[in-house]
Amino acid sequence: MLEAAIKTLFDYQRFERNASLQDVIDEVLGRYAQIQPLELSDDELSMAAGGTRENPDASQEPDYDGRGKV
Amino acid sequence: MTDAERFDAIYREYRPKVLDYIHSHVNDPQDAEDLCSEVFRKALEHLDPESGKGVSSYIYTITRNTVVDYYRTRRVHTPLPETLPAEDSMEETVLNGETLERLAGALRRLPDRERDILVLHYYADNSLQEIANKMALPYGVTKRAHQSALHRLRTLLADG
Repeated sequence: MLEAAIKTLFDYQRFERNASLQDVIDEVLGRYAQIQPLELSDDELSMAAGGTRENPDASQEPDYDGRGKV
Repeated sequence: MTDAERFDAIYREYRPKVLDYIHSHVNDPQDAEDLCSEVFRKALEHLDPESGKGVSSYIYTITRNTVVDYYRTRRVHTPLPETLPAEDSMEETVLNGETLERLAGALRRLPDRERDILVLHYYADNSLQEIANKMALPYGVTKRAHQSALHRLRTLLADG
């Protein structure tokens, strides 16, 4: 029930644009907008594929926090 | 002020909101314009311009229903957006600025992680798996935090 109410209120927010709630939303979305998956051009994809051939194990190397590369 | 003048004032105030809302659910700009006209045609038939009370929720409800009808009748191959709320939920939820203020206040009082999960899930329509990926959390942790966020939000909203 609460989930449906939250969904309704957030949809109503798309219409009403309450400033306080919009601040909360923008703050959260802004925090995660920077970590969206990148869209690569064909050239960049070719370069990435070339890099993988030269070092086939590169994609398996963990990054700084050990989660594996994105 | 005549009824026509009152309706004109409502139209000028709400047209941008209606159009913005429709654009958030419908990609085609011409369809969005057509739906916006349809909303105000329906509103004109039923709205009591003397009553300023509840105009926002009334026009929002017409707008939401018009978008749902659009997906059901004209775009049968396009699924209804997940962010559109169910009709029964709309009847049970008080829709006004005060409720949105209360939600904003309650969200601000949640721990950051829980607030982020609720906004990403219910506003940005991310699945819990997508949120787990974005937040670099295991799925199980994200799922538990989501449940905890709902529980805490319920308490905060009940406390006012």
